[in-house]
Amino acid sequence: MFRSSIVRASRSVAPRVQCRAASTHPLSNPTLIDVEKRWESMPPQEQAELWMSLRDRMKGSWAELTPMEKKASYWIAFGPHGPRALPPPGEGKKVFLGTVIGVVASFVLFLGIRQLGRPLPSTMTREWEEATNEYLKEQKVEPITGISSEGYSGPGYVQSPPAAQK
Amino acid sequence: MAPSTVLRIAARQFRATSRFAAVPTFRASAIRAYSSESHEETFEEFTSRYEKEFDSVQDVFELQRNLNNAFAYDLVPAPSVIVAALKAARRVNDYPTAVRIFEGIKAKVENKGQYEQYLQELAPLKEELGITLKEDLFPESK
Repeated sequence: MFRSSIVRASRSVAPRVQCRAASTHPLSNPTLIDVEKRWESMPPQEQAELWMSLRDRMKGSWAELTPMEKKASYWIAFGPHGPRALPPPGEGKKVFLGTVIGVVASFVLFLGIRQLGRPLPSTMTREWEEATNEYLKEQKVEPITGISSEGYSGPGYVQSPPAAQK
Repeated sequence: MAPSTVLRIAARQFRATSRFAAVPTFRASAIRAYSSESHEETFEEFTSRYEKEFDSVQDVFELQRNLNNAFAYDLVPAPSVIVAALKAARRVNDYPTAVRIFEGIKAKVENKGQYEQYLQELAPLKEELGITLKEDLFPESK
């Protein structure tokens, strides 16, 4: 509501503002050259002045605008600066490198912790596991679908390489 | 009994009771507008609505808000809407937005041929207002 009242107020003022002379002298090239590079570093006061002088020029016929003025006004309004700024060059590479470094670091940490850990328990050998299978078959454990059922062909409890290999 | 009749009777009863309860009646909301019953805007209605909107534009904010809305639909606004928008841009003395309108068309159309057709259609007004396309302003950035 507050904003709309401001808009209404500015609307009633607008005709008077528009009466302000549309400036007829084109802005000189030195003030507009490379505005793309200078804009970010210009003080806000100077930015406002440049934009206001361009706005005054736009009040006249657009056909009389110089190409420089057209370029500068478009760039200031919609160019890649402020919220429209493009991502800095090489950002993708940076993100990729950061991710690779993170993955490598975590892998090194994982291996380091494994090195400090205790060796596998003595039961984790093929021989021990085969003996386990035999014992369970003897005891008729899981007779319907499991290890002692008829025609069972699975590995049972064998999951480790033979002890000699280790 | 048709459902609308039921609703109307219900609404009448509601109004009758509300007279005693001293509650203000709101007739329009007595019959709910379900989305399936709401009328879908046709392209012609869209065109005339936005022509009107752009004709009544008073400042840059309104112009850009209407442009954002008009270009947010799953359609390319008709040339008459674009003409109204360009005239509005001229009225509020905003050159960059006029250039931006052509950029918007380029982004909305399906292929280059359609963009060319739009440019052909709008060429007289473009010449009259002295608008240069973005690709002509910044030929190196293509």
